[in-house]
Amino acid sequence: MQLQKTALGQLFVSSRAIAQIAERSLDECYGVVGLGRGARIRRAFALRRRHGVEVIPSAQGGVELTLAVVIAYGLNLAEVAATVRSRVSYEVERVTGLEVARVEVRIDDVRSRD
Amino acid sequence: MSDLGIDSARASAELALVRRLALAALEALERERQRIDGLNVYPVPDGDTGMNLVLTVRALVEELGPTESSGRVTFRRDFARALLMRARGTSGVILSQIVRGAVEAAPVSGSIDGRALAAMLERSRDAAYSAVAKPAEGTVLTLMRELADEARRRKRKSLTLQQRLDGLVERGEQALERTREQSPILSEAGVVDAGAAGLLACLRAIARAVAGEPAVVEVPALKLVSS
Repeated sequence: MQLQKTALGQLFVSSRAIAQIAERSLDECYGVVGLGRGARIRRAFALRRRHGVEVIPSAQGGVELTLAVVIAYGLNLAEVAATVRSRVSYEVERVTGLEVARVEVRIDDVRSRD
Repeated sequence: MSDLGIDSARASAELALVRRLALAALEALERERQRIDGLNVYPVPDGDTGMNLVLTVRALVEELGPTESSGRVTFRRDFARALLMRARGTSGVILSQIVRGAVEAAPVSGSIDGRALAAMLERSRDAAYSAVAKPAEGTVLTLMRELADEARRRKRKSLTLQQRLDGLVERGEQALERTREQSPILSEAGVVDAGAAGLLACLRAIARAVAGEPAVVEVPALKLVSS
């Protein structure tokens, strides 16, 4: 995905790198105890799936993320999903400058951390 | 029959006490909400930590509302469900885990001595840490861990509950100040952690309420006040 275009050349970031950033911030999200198996790739242009993170370029030059997560048992799932969404999109936008157009949070499983 | 009456009266008095402590915490959070919002630079600088804590503790107070006394066991179950459903934001979710741990480990009968207090705070710490894969340092989790350490360190000493709570507040103040250096994001912004500041505000208010002092306290000056 293109980040910058200057007279000297362009800067690209791979969807793999974006997935890595998303994954790191997921690790520190409160309530997330693991990553899901990853979204089934329904669309042929889904560029990269990295464990629980799928990155798709959006029409406006930003990205769409699908996060598959495992949430700790006993927590309010809607509340955790909302904080996951805001935290991961904040982190990806902060690091890459790309607009995060959409974040789907999929709760694959609920379990206690052992 | 008369035994049951005494038990029920005791349970009702205890519920009233817990409610009074929760109210003290709520008042403190409402007073400090803006300051706590202003500290909120991590994990997302959206300035809502104070508000989330207020909403969560307000829900908690409502759940403790003037209901029939139901004994500690039912009370625990209802309470845990209410906390689960009504926690707001990351800080609220963590606070609800902390309260749930303490409530679960609270003695079924008798008073809260050093051992019971240590058991409650250790359970709180474990509940708080149990829901995150990679806990960051310099957060409310760090503060909770230090409070549990402090309670354990002094659990065999012969102290009143008041002295124990005062000791926890003192340790908490130091731990909160240290969060400033524990996280690069906080040290860059020159602030202490917002969630930890909120938890300490609750603890301070509870210690005051147990002492029977008025809840209003002087808040130590902190950089970066909400604009």
